[in-house]
Amino acid sequence: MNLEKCLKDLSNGDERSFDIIYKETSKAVFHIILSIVKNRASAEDCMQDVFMTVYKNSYQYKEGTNPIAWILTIAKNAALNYYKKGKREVCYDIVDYTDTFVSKDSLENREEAHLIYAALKELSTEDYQILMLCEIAGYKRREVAKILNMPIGTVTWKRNNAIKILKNYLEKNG
Amino acid sequence: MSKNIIKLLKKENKAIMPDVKDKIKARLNFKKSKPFSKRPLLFGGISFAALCLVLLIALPLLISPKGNQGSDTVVAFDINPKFVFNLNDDNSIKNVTPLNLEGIFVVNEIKPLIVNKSLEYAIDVSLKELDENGYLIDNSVKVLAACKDSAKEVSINNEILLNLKNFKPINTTKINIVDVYSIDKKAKADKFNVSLGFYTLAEDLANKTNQPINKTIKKNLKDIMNELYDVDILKFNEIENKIDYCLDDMKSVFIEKKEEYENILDNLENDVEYLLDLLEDEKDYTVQLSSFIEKYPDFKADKNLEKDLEKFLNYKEKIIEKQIEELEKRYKQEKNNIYKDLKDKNNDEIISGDIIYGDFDDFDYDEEDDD
Repeated sequence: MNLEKCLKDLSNGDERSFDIIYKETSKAVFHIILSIVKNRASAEDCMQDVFMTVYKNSYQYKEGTNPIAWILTIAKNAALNYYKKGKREVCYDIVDYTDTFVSKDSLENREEAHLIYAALKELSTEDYQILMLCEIAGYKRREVAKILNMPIGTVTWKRNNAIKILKNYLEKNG
Repeated sequence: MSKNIIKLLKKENKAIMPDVKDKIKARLNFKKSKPFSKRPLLFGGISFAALCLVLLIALPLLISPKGNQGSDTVVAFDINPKFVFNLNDDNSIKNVTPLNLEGIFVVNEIKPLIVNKSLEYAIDVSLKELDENGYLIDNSVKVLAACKDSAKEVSINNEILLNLKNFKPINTTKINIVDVYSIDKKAKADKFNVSLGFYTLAEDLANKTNQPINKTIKKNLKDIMNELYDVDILKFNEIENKIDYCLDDMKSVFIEKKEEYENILDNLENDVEYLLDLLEDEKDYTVQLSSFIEKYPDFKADKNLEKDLEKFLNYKEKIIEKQIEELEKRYKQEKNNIYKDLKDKNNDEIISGDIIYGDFDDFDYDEEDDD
């Protein structure tokens, strides 16, 4: 799938291109945001803003550069803004911000996604992103290395380390 | 165990992954696509009649010289290469057309980068391309906007001039900008009630073809541009198609080769991961490790296998990245060779002859050289 072409067509208002871009990147966008805001509901809101921004700024995408990296940079920035805003509004007196945000999500979701929430708590933001980009978004390690601008060996090592941490977590917590 | 964890993550992801596509689309207000349906013949008949009516009204406008005004605003690069931008109403680039053979080469490079982009960006990309290929060294640079709306033309020309002045070339110390306007010309343009840019082009054509200015001033922009640069449109299209065809061919060979390298890395990545999974699950990995070493004889396992695999993967990535870089360089070089070769030929020779493109057959993956 040529995301570059889709972004170009999107800048001309092509709806089909939007569908393709969404299908190809929504998982990655969601988990990049979730890794930062640590809350599903906020991630969902933020995700909408991200795709709106992608649509509105698709003409600014520079051909020849990595389209996924471009979209995920938008996602990261949007999530960071969301995080800062949320921190100002909600968490001025709470030390464990991460835990607070995780606990804001409905119990139902936490049970449905026990391991994902454990990953959010136990892994560093970078390790979580690597794990999700590799295993949930389905990108190759080579692609993730390009997106996150790090060597492929490091991506593989970090992904493996993340799995190891989750394994230990499951062993301890069932 | 690792596989179970991944399986569980995927299952959980399905449960929490939001689907906000429709919400976003509603916010973006996309036009609802019309489902395909068979309409009764009557509607078809009415539609056809309506189409005929529209054509009947519009056709004279489309074929008359006045109706075919071409683009309202053009920006002509008269350097050698020569090419022209057609602008949209918002001054973004609508299209780029070459006006001579060298223009074809430049347009081939810049067109995919600048269509729908801003004029400022397009000028910058064009100047960089011209500078990279040494076109700015001895040539004088004449870039001229022409537009029906004089005020718009002045503002575009000012923007162009600013961009030209701000541009820092690498291959020459200074670019030689030609000032195309004069007070004298402004008075003449006012006399004919046309913009200064339009007058300049019409006057250029009159001087070049010995036609009276009264005649050239009545032409539309598109015709002026074509006549001014002796563009034999049909022949030009044929040359462009021929070059495009050959470049596409070469590009597909290049992409195939690049994918070959990327596959080497993907396979290695899978092999490493398999080993790491065995390690992680505390299974016996000795057989797998031996076959890995057999497959990759330059891998050296020391005390910490995990770290060694990481190092090895990074090392191989660097090698393959370098190979791809070399391949890209070679591709660019092959392309330049085609251009150079074509510059020495005349148009008919290009159309009738074969253009040789690089097949990269002699470009094989050889990691020994990169130690």
